[in-house]
Amino acid sequence: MAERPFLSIVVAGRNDAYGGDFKARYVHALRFNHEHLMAHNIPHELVLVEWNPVPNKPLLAELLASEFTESTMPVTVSYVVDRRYHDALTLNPYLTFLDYVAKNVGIRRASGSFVLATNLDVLLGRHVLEVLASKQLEQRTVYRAARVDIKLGADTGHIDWALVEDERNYARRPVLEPPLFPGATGDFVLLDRTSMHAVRGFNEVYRLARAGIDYNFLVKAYASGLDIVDIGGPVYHLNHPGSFRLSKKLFNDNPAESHFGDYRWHSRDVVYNNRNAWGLSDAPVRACGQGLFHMDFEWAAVPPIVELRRVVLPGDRSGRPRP
Amino acid sequence: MHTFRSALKRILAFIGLAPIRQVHALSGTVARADTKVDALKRRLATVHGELRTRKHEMKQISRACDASERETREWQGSAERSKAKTAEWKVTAETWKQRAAQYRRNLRETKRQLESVEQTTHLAQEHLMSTEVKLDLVEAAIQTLDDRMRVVLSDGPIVKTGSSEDRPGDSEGE
Repeated sequence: MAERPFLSIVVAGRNDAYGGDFKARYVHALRFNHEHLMAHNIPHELVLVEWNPVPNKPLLAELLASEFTESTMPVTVSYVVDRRYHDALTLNPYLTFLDYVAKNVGIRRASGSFVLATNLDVLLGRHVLEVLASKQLEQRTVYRAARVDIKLGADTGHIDWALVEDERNYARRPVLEPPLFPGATGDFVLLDRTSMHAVRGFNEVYRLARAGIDYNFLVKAYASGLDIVDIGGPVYHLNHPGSFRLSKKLFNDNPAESHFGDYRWHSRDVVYNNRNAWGLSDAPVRACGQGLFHMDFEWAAVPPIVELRRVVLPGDRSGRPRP
Repeated sequence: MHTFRSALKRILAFIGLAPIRQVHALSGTVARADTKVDALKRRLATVHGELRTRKHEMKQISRACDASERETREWQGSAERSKAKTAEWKVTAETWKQRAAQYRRNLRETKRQLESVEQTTHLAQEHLMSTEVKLDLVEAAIQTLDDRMRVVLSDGPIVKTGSSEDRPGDSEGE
Protein backbone atom coordinates (compact mmCIF):
# COMPACT_ATOMS: atom_id res chain seq x y z
CA MET A 1 0.00 0.00 0.00
CA ALA A 2 1.35 3.39 -1.02
CA GLU A 3 2.46 5.70 1.77
CA ARG A 4 0.08 8.56 2.43
CA PRO A 5 1.61 11.76 0.96
CA PHE A 6 2.00 14.80 3.15
CA LEU A 7 0.19 17.00 0.69
CA SER A 8 -2.61 16.49 -1.80
CA ILE A 9 -2.90 19.28 -4.33
CA VAL A 10 -6.45 19.31 -5.61
CA VAL A 11 -7.13 21.07 -8.89
CA ALA A 12 -10.01 20.99 -11.31
CA GLY A 13 -10.29 21.90 -14.92
CA ARG A 14 -11.43 21.06 -18.41
CA ASN A 15 -9.79 21.38 -21.78
CA ASP A 16 -11.82 24.39 -22.85
CA ALA A 17 -9.00 26.81 -23.65
CA TYR A 18 -10.02 28.86 -20.63
CA GLY A 19 -8.09 32.10 -20.51
CA GLY A 20 -6.25 31.56 -23.76
CA ASP A 21 -3.25 29.28 -23.72
CA PHE A 22 -4.54 27.24 -20.85
CA LYS A 23 -2.47 24.18 -21.62
CA ALA A 24 0.79 26.12 -21.57
CA ARG A 25 -0.15 27.93 -18.35
CA TYR A 26 -1.16 24.83 -16.49
CA VAL A 27 1.74 22.71 -17.71
CA HIS A 28 4.19 25.46 -16.74
CA ALA A 29 2.58 25.85 -13.36
CA LEU A 30 2.45 22.13 -12.64
CA ARG A 31 6.06 21.70 -13.65
CA PHE A 32 7.19 24.66 -11.56
CA ASN A 33 5.29 23.49 -8.50
CA HIS A 34 6.32 19.87 -8.83
CA GLU A 35 10.00 20.71 -9.26
CA HIS A 36 10.06 22.94 -6.22
CA LEU A 37 8.01 20.58 -4.08
CA MET A 38 10.51 17.85 -4.96
CA ALA A 39 13.44 20.16 -4.25
CA HIS A 40 11.95 20.87 -0.84
CA ASN A 41 11.40 17.18 -0.24
CA ILE A 42 7.64 17.53 0.21
CA PRO A 43 5.84 14.25 -0.55
CA HIS A 44 2.80 15.19 -2.59
CA GLU A 45 0.19 13.98 -5.01
CA LEU A 46 -1.73 15.89 -7.61
CA VAL A 47 -5.45 15.18 -7.64
CA LEU A 48 -6.75 16.40 -10.96
CA VAL A 49 -10.49 16.48 -11.48
CA GLU A 50 -11.67 16.87 -15.03
CA TRP A 51 -15.17 18.30 -14.80
CA ASN A 52 -17.63 18.41 -17.65
CA PRO A 53 -15.00 17.22 -20.14
CA VAL A 54 -15.18 18.85 -23.53
CA PRO A 55 -16.36 16.34 -26.17
CA ASN A 56 -13.84 15.43 -28.87
CA LYS A 57 -10.99 17.13 -27.02
CA PRO A 58 -8.13 15.39 -25.27
CA LEU A 59 -8.47 15.03 -21.53
CA LEU A 60 -6.24 17.19 -19.36
CA ALA A 61 -4.81 14.00 -17.90
CA GLU A 62 -3.81 12.90 -21.38
CA LEU A 63 -2.23 16.26 -22.14
CA LEU A 64 -0.37 16.05 -18.87
CA ALA A 65 0.98 12.62 -19.68
CA SER A 66 2.20 13.90 -23.04
CA GLU A 67 4.01 16.86 -21.48
CA PHE A 68 5.93 15.01 -18.78
CA THR A 69 8.26 12.08 -18.94
CA GLU A 70 7.67 9.25 -16.53
CA SER A 71 10.51 10.45 -14.30
CA THR A 72 9.37 14.06 -14.17
CA MET A 73 5.67 13.35 -13.90
CA PRO A 74 4.17 14.21 -10.54
CA VAL A 75 2.23 11.49 -8.78
CA THR A 76 -1.17 12.19 -10.23
CA VAL A 77 -4.61 10.81 -9.63
CA SER A 78 -7.05 12.02 -12.25
CA TYR A 79 -10.79 11.75 -12.01
CA VAL A 80 -12.76 12.29 -15.18
CA VAL A 81 -16.28 13.11 -14.14
CA ASP A 82 -18.99 12.13 -16.59
CA ARG A 83 -20.35 15.32 -18.06
CA ARG A 84 -23.88 14.29 -17.18
CA TYR A 85 -23.05 15.08 -13.56
CA HIS A 86 -22.55 18.68 -14.54
CA ASP A 87 -25.82 18.70 -16.48
CA ALA A 88 -27.63 17.12 -13.55
CA LEU A 89 -26.10 19.40 -10.93
CA THR A 90 -25.94 22.82 -12.46
CA LEU A 91 -28.69 25.26 -11.64
CA ASN A 92 -27.40 27.91 -13.98
CA PRO A 93 -27.27 27.35 -17.73
CA TYR A 94 -24.49 29.96 -18.05
CA LEU A 95 -22.09 27.81 -16.03
CA THR A 96 -20.08 25.21 -17.84
CA PHE A 97 -17.82 24.49 -14.94
CA LEU A 98 -18.66 23.94 -11.29
CA ASP A 99 -15.15 24.43 -9.89
CA TYR A 100 -15.96 23.74 -6.32
CA VAL A 101 -18.14 20.71 -6.78
CA ALA A 102 -15.30 19.43 -8.92
CA LYS A 103 -12.75 20.25 -6.24
CA ASN A 104 -14.91 18.47 -3.70
CA VAL A 105 -14.64 15.34 -5.86
CA GLY A 106 -10.87 15.58 -5.50
CA ILE A 107 -10.87 16.61 -1.86
CA ARG A 108 -13.14 13.71 -0.94
CA ARG A 109 -10.70 11.28 -2.55
CA ALA A 110 -7.40 12.97 -1.65
CA SER A 111 -5.15 10.88 0.53
CA GLY A 112 -2.67 13.48 1.79
CA SER A 113 -2.49 14.52 5.42
CA PHE A 114 -3.06 18.06 4.22
CA VAL A 115 -5.19 19.11 1.29
CA LEU A 116 -4.44 22.17 -0.80
CA ALA A 117 -7.34 23.25 -2.98
CA THR A 118 -5.90 25.48 -5.65
CA ASN A 119 -6.04 26.14 -9.37
CA LEU A 120 -4.05 24.78 -12.24
CA ASP A 121 -2.35 28.06 -13.05
CA VAL A 122 -1.22 28.97 -9.55
CA LEU A 123 2.47 28.91 -8.65
CA LEU A 124 3.52 28.22 -5.09
CA GLY A 125 5.71 30.90 -3.57
CA ARG A 126 9.04 30.37 -1.90
CA HIS A 127 7.74 30.98 1.60
CA VAL A 128 4.77 28.68 1.05
CA LEU A 129 7.17 25.92 0.01
CA GLU A 130 9.30 26.53 3.08
CA VAL A 131 6.30 26.30 5.39
CA LEU A 132 5.17 23.10 3.71
CA ALA A 133 8.69 21.68 3.94
CA SER A 134 8.81 22.41 7.66
CA LYS A 135 5.74 20.17 8.08
CA GLN A 136 4.79 22.33 11.04
CA LEU A 137 1.24 22.95 9.87
CA GLU A 138 -1.45 23.05 12.54
CA GLN A 139 -4.57 20.93 12.48
CA ARG A 140 -7.95 22.72 12.31
CA THR A 141 -6.31 25.72 10.68
CA VAL A 142 -7.14 27.05 7.25
CA TYR A 143 -4.00 28.46 5.67
CA ARG A 144 -4.47 31.23 3.16
CA ALA A 145 -1.98 32.85 0.83
CA ALA A 146 -2.29 36.16 -0.95
CA ARG A 147 -2.36 35.86 -4.71
CA VAL A 148 0.02 38.04 -6.65
CA ASP A 149 -1.09 38.45 -10.26
CA ILE A 150 1.63 38.41 -12.88
CA LYS A 151 0.82 41.00 -15.53
CA LEU A 152 -0.67 40.08 -18.83
CA GLY A 153 2.11 40.28 -21.35
CA ALA A 154 4.89 39.28 -18.99
CA ASP A 155 7.22 36.77 -20.57
CA THR A 156 5.87 33.52 -19.17
CA GLY A 157 7.64 31.31 -21.71
CA HIS A 158 9.94 30.24 -18.96
CA ILE A 159 8.75 30.47 -15.40
CA ASP A 160 11.32 30.83 -12.67
CA TRP A 161 11.86 32.75 -9.44
CA ALA A 162 13.30 35.70 -11.36
CA LEU A 163 10.00 36.11 -13.19
CA VAL A 164 7.62 35.61 -10.29
CA GLU A 165 9.62 37.56 -7.74
CA ASP A 166 10.23 40.58 -9.93
CA GLU A 167 7.79 43.17 -8.62
CA ARG A 168 7.79 44.94 -11.97
CA ASN A 169 5.77 42.00 -13.28
CA TYR A 170 3.05 42.37 -10.67
CA ALA A 171 -0.41 43.53 -11.67
CA ARG A 172 -1.59 43.49 -8.06
CA ARG A 173 -0.20 42.54 -4.73
CA PRO A 174 -2.98 42.16 -2.18
CA VAL A 175 -2.78 41.96 1.59
CA LEU A 176 -5.06 39.50 3.34
CA GLU A 177 -7.11 40.85 6.21
CA PRO A 178 -8.28 38.96 9.28
CA PRO A 179 -10.38 37.33 10.44
CA LEU A 180 -11.23 35.49 7.21
CA PHE A 181 -8.21 36.45 5.10
CA PRO A 182 -10.26 36.41 1.90
CA GLY A 183 -9.12 37.37 -1.59
CA ALA A 184 -8.77 34.93 -4.48
CA THR A 185 -9.49 32.25 -1.90
CA GLY A 186 -10.05 29.55 -4.49
CA ASP A 187 -6.38 29.78 -5.38
CA PHE A 188 -5.12 28.71 -2.00
CA VAL A 189 -7.02 26.88 0.70
CA LEU A 190 -4.83 24.58 2.73
CA LEU A 191 -6.31 22.51 5.52
CA ASP A 192 -5.72 19.17 7.16
CA ARG A 193 -7.70 16.40 5.53
CA THR A 194 -9.70 15.55 8.66
CA SER A 195 -10.94 19.11 9.08
CA MET A 196 -11.63 19.40 5.38
CA HIS A 197 -13.85 16.35 5.70
CA ALA A 198 -15.44 17.72 8.87
CA VAL A 199 -16.64 20.84 7.04
CA ARG A 200 -17.47 18.71 4.00
CA GLY A 201 -15.54 20.76 1.50
CA PHE A 202 -16.90 23.66 -0.48
CA ASN A 203 -20.56 24.59 -0.83
CA GLU A 204 -22.25 22.24 -3.26
CA VAL A 205 -25.79 23.21 -2.30
CA TYR A 206 -25.70 26.60 -4.02
CA ARG A 207 -24.94 25.62 -7.58
CA LEU A 208 -25.98 28.85 -9.28
CA ALA A 209 -22.59 30.50 -9.20
CA ARG A 210 -18.90 29.83 -9.11
CA ALA A 211 -18.03 33.25 -7.75
CA GLY A 212 -18.18 33.59 -3.98
CA ILE A 213 -18.13 29.86 -3.23
CA ASP A 214 -14.53 30.15 -2.05
CA TYR A 215 -15.34 33.06 0.27
CA ASN A 216 -18.34 31.10 1.48
CA PHE A 217 -15.99 28.29 2.50
CA LEU A 218 -14.11 30.70 4.77
CA VAL A 219 -17.36 31.81 6.39
CA LYS A 220 -18.28 28.17 6.95
CA ALA A 221 -14.82 27.31 8.32
CA TYR A 222 -14.85 30.30 10.66
CA ALA A 223 -18.35 29.45 11.87
CA SER A 224 -17.20 25.87 12.43
CA GLY A 225 -14.50 27.05 14.81
CA LEU A 226 -11.53 26.54 12.52
CA ASP A 227 -8.72 29.06 12.70
CA ILE A 228 -7.85 30.96 9.56
CA VAL A 229 -4.36 32.33 9.10
CA ASP A 230 -2.22 33.87 6.41
CA ILE A 231 0.60 31.45 5.66
CA GLY A 232 2.90 34.45 5.37
CA GLY A 233 3.94 34.45 1.74
CA PRO A 234 2.21 34.73 -1.63
CA VAL A 235 1.31 32.43 -4.44
CA TYR A 236 1.51 33.68 -7.99
CA HIS A 237 -1.07 33.66 -10.72
CA LEU A 238 -0.41 34.24 -14.36
CA ASN A 239 -3.02 36.75 -15.45
CA HIS A 240 -5.05 35.74 -18.46
CA PRO A 241 -8.03 37.05 -20.39
CA GLY A 242 -11.37 35.89 -19.02
CA SER A 243 -10.31 35.60 -15.37
CA PHE A 244 -12.99 36.55 -12.86
CA ARG A 245 -11.09 39.59 -11.70
CA LEU A 246 -10.55 40.91 -15.21
CA SER A 247 -13.92 40.02 -16.72
CA LYS A 248 -16.20 40.87 -13.80
CA LYS A 249 -16.90 44.34 -15.14
CA LEU A 250 -18.05 42.98 -18.48
CA PHE A 251 -21.14 41.64 -16.73
CA ASN A 252 -21.90 44.63 -14.56
CA ASP A 253 -25.23 45.13 -16.29
CA ASN A 254 -26.32 41.55 -15.92
CA PRO A 255 -24.09 39.60 -13.54
CA ALA A 256 -26.48 36.64 -13.63
CA GLU A 257 -25.39 35.95 -17.20
CA SER A 258 -21.72 35.79 -16.32
CA HIS A 259 -20.00 32.44 -16.75
CA PHE A 260 -19.06 32.82 -13.08
CA GLY A 261 -22.70 33.23 -12.06
CA ASP A 262 -24.01 36.16 -10.10
CA TYR A 263 -21.28 37.12 -7.66
CA ARG A 264 -23.74 39.21 -5.64
CA TRP A 265 -25.32 36.27 -3.86
CA HIS A 266 -25.10 36.23 -0.06
CA SER A 267 -21.89 34.23 0.12
CA ARG A 268 -20.72 36.17 3.16
CA ASP A 269 -23.77 35.59 5.30
CA VAL A 270 -25.33 32.24 4.53
CA VAL A 271 -23.52 28.92 4.69
CA TYR A 272 -24.23 25.32 3.84
CA ASN A 273 -24.39 21.88 5.22
CA ASN A 274 -23.35 19.49 2.49
CA ARG A 275 -24.94 16.07 2.53
CA ASN A 276 -22.99 13.02 3.72
CA ALA A 277 -22.33 11.99 0.15
CA TRP A 278 -20.57 15.26 -0.70
CA GLY A 279 -17.97 15.18 -3.41
CA LEU A 280 -20.08 12.71 -5.41
CA SER A 281 -18.87 10.00 -3.08
CA ASP A 282 -21.59 7.62 -4.27
CA ALA A 283 -20.57 7.92 -7.90
CA PRO A 284 -19.13 4.69 -9.31
CA VAL A 285 -15.43 5.03 -10.08
CA ARG A 286 -13.80 2.97 -12.79
CA ALA A 287 -10.02 2.66 -13.17
CA CYS A 288 -8.93 3.36 -16.75
CA GLY A 289 -5.19 3.28 -16.43
CA GLN A 290 -2.35 4.33 -14.18
CA GLY A 291 -3.85 6.98 -11.88
CA LEU A 292 -6.75 7.65 -14.21
CA PHE A 293 -10.32 7.07 -13.07
CA HIS A 294 -13.65 7.67 -14.72
CA MET A 295 -16.67 8.52 -12.65
CA ASP A 296 -19.62 6.98 -14.40
CA PHE A 297 -23.01 8.57 -14.23
CA GLU A 298 -25.65 7.24 -11.90
CA TRP A 299 -28.69 9.15 -10.80
CA ALA A 300 -28.30 7.65 -7.34
CA ALA A 301 -25.08 9.61 -6.90
CA VAL A 302 -26.72 12.92 -7.82
CA PRO A 303 -28.07 14.97 -4.95
CA PRO A 304 -31.61 16.32 -5.11
CA ILE A 305 -31.94 19.32 -7.38
CA VAL A 306 -32.49 21.52 -4.38
CA GLU A 307 -32.23 20.94 -0.61
CA LEU A 308 -33.32 24.07 1.19
CA ARG A 309 -32.66 22.69 4.66
CA ARG A 310 -28.99 22.57 3.75
CA VAL A 311 -28.89 26.35 3.43
CA VAL A 312 -28.09 27.47 6.97
CA LEU A 313 -26.98 30.48 8.94
CA PRO A 314 -23.43 30.64 10.25
CA GLY A 315 -24.80 30.70 13.81
CA ASP A 316 -22.74 32.08 16.66
CA ARG A 317 -19.45 31.48 14.87
CA SER A 318 -18.26 29.47 17.84
CA GLY A 319 -18.48 32.49 20.10
CA ARG A 320 -16.16 34.58 17.96
CA PRO A 321 -17.06 38.03 16.68
CA ARG A 322 -18.77 38.38 13.37
CA PRO A 323 -16.29 38.93 10.59
CA MET B 1 20.52 119.19 132.03
CA HIS B 2 18.90 116.93 129.70
CA THR B 3 15.68 117.12 131.53
CA PHE B 4 15.80 120.88 131.42
CA ARG B 5 16.33 120.92 127.75
CA SER B 6 13.46 118.62 127.20
CA ALA B 7 11.26 120.69 129.39
CA LEU B 8 12.29 123.80 127.53
CA LYS B 9 11.55 122.24 124.26
CA ARG B 10 8.13 121.30 125.50
CA ILE B 11 7.49 124.79 126.73
CA LEU B 12 8.65 126.36 123.47
CA ALA B 13 6.71 123.83 121.57
CA PHE B 14 3.71 124.77 123.63
CA ILE B 15 3.91 128.30 122.49
CA GLY B 16 4.59 127.29 118.95
CA LEU B 17 8.33 127.57 118.77
CA ALA B 18 10.70 124.91 117.68
CA PRO B 19 14.40 124.64 117.42
CA ILE B 20 15.87 125.91 114.19
CA ARG B 21 17.28 122.57 113.42
CA GLN B 22 13.91 121.01 113.61
CA VAL B 23 12.49 123.81 111.58
CA HIS B 24 15.13 123.23 108.94
CA ALA B 25 14.49 119.55 109.01
CA LEU B 26 10.78 120.04 108.69
CA SER B 27 11.29 122.61 105.96
CA GLY B 28 13.36 120.06 104.07
CA THR B 29 10.66 117.49 104.62
CA VAL B 30 7.99 119.93 103.40
CA ALA B 31 10.10 120.75 100.34
CA ARG B 32 10.54 117.08 99.53
CA ALA B 33 6.85 116.56 100.11
CA ASP B 34 6.09 119.41 97.74
CA THR B 35 8.39 117.90 95.18
CA LYS B 36 6.68 114.57 95.62
CA VAL B 37 3.31 116.26 95.39
CA ASP B 38 4.40 117.94 92.18
CA ALA B 39 5.67 114.66 90.85
CA LEU B 40 2.47 112.98 91.89
CA LYS B 41 0.46 115.76 90.30
CA ARG B 42 2.39 115.32 87.09
CA ARG B 43 1.94 111.67 87.28
CA LEU B 44 -1.72 112.10 88.00
CA ALA B 45 -1.98 114.33 84.98
CA THR B 46 -0.20 111.71 82.94
CA VAL B 47 -2.45 109.01 84.32
CA HIS B 48 -5.44 111.20 83.55
CA GLY B 49 -4.14 111.59 80.03
CA GLU B 50 -3.57 107.92 79.71
CA LEU B 51 -6.94 107.27 81.21
CA ARG B 52 -8.53 109.48 78.62
CA THR B 53 -6.55 107.73 75.92
CA ARG B 54 -7.56 104.35 77.33
CA LYS B 55 -11.12 105.55 77.62
CA HIS B 56 -10.97 106.60 74.00
CA GLU B 57 -9.40 103.35 73.02
CA MET B 58 -11.92 101.54 75.13
CA LYS B 59 -14.69 103.34 73.29
CA GLN B 60 -13.11 102.40 69.97
CA ILE B 61 -12.66 98.82 71.08
CA SER B 62 -16.18 98.80 72.35
CA ARG B 63 -17.39 100.08 69.01
CA ALA B 64 -15.25 97.55 67.23
CA CYS B 65 -16.62 94.87 69.54
CA ASP B 66 -20.11 96.01 68.77
CA ALA B 67 -19.30 95.92 65.05
CA SER B 68 -17.72 92.50 65.42
CA GLU B 69 -20.68 91.29 67.37
CA ARG B 70 -22.97 92.59 64.69
CA GLU B 71 -20.79 90.99 62.07
CA THR B 72 -20.64 87.76 64.04
CA ARG B 73 -24.37 87.80 64.35
CA GLU B 74 -24.63 88.43 60.63
CA TRP B 75 -22.18 85.64 59.88
CA GLN B 76 -23.98 83.39 62.28
CA GLY B 77 -27.19 84.19 60.47
CA SER B 78 -25.47 83.65 57.20
CA ALA B 79 -23.95 80.38 58.45
CA GLU B 80 -27.33 79.23 59.62
CA ARG B 81 -28.83 80.15 56.30
CA SER B 82 -25.97 78.37 54.56
CA LYS B 83 -26.48 75.41 56.83
CA ALA B 84 -30.10 75.36 55.90
CA LYS B 85 -29.18 75.74 52.24
CA THR B 86 -26.56 73.02 52.55
CA ALA B 87 -29.19 70.70 53.88
CA GLU B 88 -31.42 71.67 50.97
CA TRP B 89 -28.57 71.13 48.52
CA LYS B 90 -27.82 67.82 50.16
CA VAL B 91 -31.39 66.78 49.56
CA THR B 92 -31.20 68.12 46.00
CA ALA B 93 -27.87 66.37 45.44
CA GLU B 94 -29.30 63.14 46.76
CA THR B 95 -32.28 63.54 44.44
CA TRP B 96 -29.98 64.14 41.48
CA LYS B 97 -27.83 61.21 42.54
CA GLN B 98 -30.88 59.01 42.59
CA ARG B 99 -32.00 60.40 39.25
CA ALA B 100 -28.52 59.82 37.80
CA ALA B 101 -28.58 56.25 39.09
CA GLN B 102 -32.01 55.83 37.55
CA TYR B 103 -30.77 57.30 34.28
CA ARG B 104 -27.79 54.96 34.39
CA ARG B 105 -30.12 52.02 34.96
CA ASN B 106 -32.37 53.26 32.15
CA LEU B 107 -29.34 53.73 29.93
CA ARG B 108 -28.11 50.21 30.66
CA GLU B 109 -31.55 48.84 29.99
CA THR B 110 -31.86 50.87 26.78
CA LYS B 111 -28.42 49.71 25.73
CA ARG B 112 -29.37 46.11 26.47
CA GLN B 113 -32.60 46.54 24.53
CA LEU B 114 -30.66 48.16 21.70
CA GLU B 115 -28.23 45.27 21.61
CA SER B 116 -31.11 42.85 21.68
CA VAL B 117 -32.83 44.73 18.86
CA GLU B 118 -29.56 44.88 16.95
CA GLN B 119 -29.10 41.16 17.42
CA THR B 120 -32.66 40.47 16.37
CA THR B 121 -32.28 42.76 13.38
CA HIS B 122 -29.08 41.04 12.38
CA LEU B 123 -30.68 37.65 12.81
CA ALA B 124 -33.70 38.79 10.81
CA GLN B 125 -31.36 40.10 8.16
CA GLU B 126 -29.53 36.78 8.07
CA HIS B 127 -32.83 34.93 7.82
CA LEU B 128 -33.87 37.27 5.05
CA MET B 129 -30.65 36.58 3.18
CA SER B 130 -31.06 32.88 3.79
CA THR B 131 -34.59 33.10 2.42
CA GLU B 132 -33.31 34.99 -0.61
CA VAL B 133 -30.71 32.30 -1.24
CA LYS B 134 -33.39 29.63 -0.88
CA LEU B 135 -35.69 31.48 -3.25
CA ASP B 136 -32.84 31.77 -5.75
CA LEU B 137 -32.33 28.03 -5.44
CA VAL B 138 -36.02 27.26 -5.83
CA GLU B 139 -36.32 29.54 -8.81
CA ALA B 140 -33.21 28.04 -10.40
CA ALA B 141 -34.44 24.52 -9.70
CA ILE B 142 -37.82 25.29 -11.25
CA GLN B 143 -36.10 26.83 -14.25
CA THR B 144 -33.84 23.79 -14.60
CA LEU B 145 -36.74 21.38 -14.32
CA ASP B 146 -38.71 23.45 -16.79
CA ASP B 147 -35.80 23.36 -19.25
CA ARG B 148 -35.51 19.61 -18.84
CA MET B 149 -39.24 19.11 -19.23
CA ARG B 150 -39.24 21.08 -22.45
CA VAL B 151 -36.47 18.86 -23.80
CA VAL B 152 -38.17 15.63 -22.73
CA LEU B 153 -41.68 16.70 -23.67
CA SER B 154 -40.88 18.46 -26.90
CA ASP B 155 -44.43 17.97 -28.09
CA GLY B 156 -45.91 19.82 -25.14
CA PRO B 157 -46.95 18.99 -21.61
CA ILE B 158 -48.88 15.92 -20.56
CA VAL B 159 -52.16 16.97 -19.00
CA LYS B 160 -53.58 14.27 -16.76
CA THR B 161 -57.37 14.14 -16.88
CA GLY B 162 -57.89 10.55 -15.78
CA SER B 163 -56.97 8.85 -19.04
CA SER B 164 -53.73 8.61 -20.92
CA GLU B 165 -55.36 9.72 -24.12
CA ASP B 166 -54.90 13.43 -23.59
CA ARG B 167 -51.24 13.65 -24.37
CA PRO B 168 -50.85 15.96 -27.33
CA GLY B 169 -50.16 13.98 -30.40
CA ASP B 170 -51.67 10.86 -28.86
CA SER B 171 -55.03 9.89 -30.25
CA GLU B 172 -56.96 6.73 -30.75
CA GLY B 173 -56.09 4.94 -33.87
CA GLU B 174 -52.61 6.42 -34.10
